[in-house]
Amino acid sequence: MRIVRRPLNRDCRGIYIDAEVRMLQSSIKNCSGTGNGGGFGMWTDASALLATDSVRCGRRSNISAWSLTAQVAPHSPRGVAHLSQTIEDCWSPGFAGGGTMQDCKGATLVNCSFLRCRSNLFGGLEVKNAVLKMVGGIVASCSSGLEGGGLIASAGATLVLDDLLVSDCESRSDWTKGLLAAGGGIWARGNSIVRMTGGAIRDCRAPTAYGGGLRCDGTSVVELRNVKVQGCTAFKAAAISIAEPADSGGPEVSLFDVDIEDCVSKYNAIISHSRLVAERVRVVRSGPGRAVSLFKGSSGTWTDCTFSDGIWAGQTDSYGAAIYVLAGTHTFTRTAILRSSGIEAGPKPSPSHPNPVQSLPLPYPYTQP
Amino acid sequence: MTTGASAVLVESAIMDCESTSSIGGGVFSYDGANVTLQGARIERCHATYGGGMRPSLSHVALSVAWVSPCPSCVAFREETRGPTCDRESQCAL
Repeated sequence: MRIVRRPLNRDCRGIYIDAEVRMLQSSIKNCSGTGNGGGFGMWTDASALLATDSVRCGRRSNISAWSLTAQVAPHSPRGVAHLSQTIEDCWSPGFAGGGTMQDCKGATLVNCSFLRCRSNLFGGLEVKNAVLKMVGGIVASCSSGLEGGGLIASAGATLVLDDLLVSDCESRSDWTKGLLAAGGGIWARGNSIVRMTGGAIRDCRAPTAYGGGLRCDGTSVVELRNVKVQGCTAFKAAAISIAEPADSGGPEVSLFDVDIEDCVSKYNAIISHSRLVAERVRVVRSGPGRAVSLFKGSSGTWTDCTFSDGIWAGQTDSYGAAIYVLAGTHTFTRTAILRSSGIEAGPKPSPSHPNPVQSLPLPYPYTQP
Repeated sequence: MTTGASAVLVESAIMDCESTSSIGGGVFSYDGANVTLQGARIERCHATYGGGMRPSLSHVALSVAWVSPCPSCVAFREETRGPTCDRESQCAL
């Protein structure tokens, strides 16, 4: 391996490597970038990759380029960076406070932690036209001024996440300002692929947006298997938001053995506008809103699923049934709805279609048996 | 779409549910929605109107379904098109 040291910017001294590099038991702390990739960057076709131990830069240092740049050689034998360290308190006023990987062969991160990384646009780690595999590890307390608090899978990205914990991440996109919302924990967009097996998305938030745990846009293909989504919150879709299909088709989401617990929103825990296949999914304590809202463009199957313990008591502004089918065809097989408010099927109330509740004659002769 | 909502429940159960909007504790369908219950069970559900089910100007098909006796179990049948539960007579309307 050939290693060449060169200054990458005024403050930080990176290490430029033109072959595969392994980073073991290292850390990247308090780094920042003026563009994107506060912690590290991997992009372009430059044949390089950078690794170091305990790189420390002054927080928000006056640097003109990325504080730390790691580039994977497209022509390197493996083109893979193995990171096993912590990336902490990194920041970018642009994209991807923790790091960015673009147009490269990607990385395998084993037991790697992204902690408290933040950016004004996309949050922790963005991957575009690259493959990222994370085995174990934590993405925690990362945040974004717009979409994607923790992980962002952009066009051409493939994220393979095994036993990863995404925790306490936040998207601060605000729908009231015309900014679309996207995923406190994970945002999949474009034609990205996200496969998460094991692990959890926990306590992630999109308080003024959609998809506290996960947001799926574009034609993304997302599969969660043996994943727990717990304690996530959002303005709408506290756990999972599946966006409307575009002309090129919408997202495809598969949920297998997924537990969605205590994901609270005034409106709903799951929103789908597209294709959704769910097997052995359990949605518990999702009130006061609905457990699932299925809108225009949606279709799907739910097999061996359970929706239980919607929180209704004392809620003066709850939004009805556990499952709300506004559009599309949805098949529920061996599915139980328990201690909630049943299933509701019909159009969204509008001036031309007022809520039937309001048109009922009252009082109705009703006697308790 | 506003009138093409379709839900099919196969061998499923809706139990111990209560409507917050006063109608359709177990199933509430309206305005052209299609709901099919095949081997489904609706038990111990409650609402002011239609504790078990409240189809309104919609199509509800029941096949080997069981709606347990409960207050106003299937309400407003006259607004329902299509077959209804053969055990409906057991329900307290």
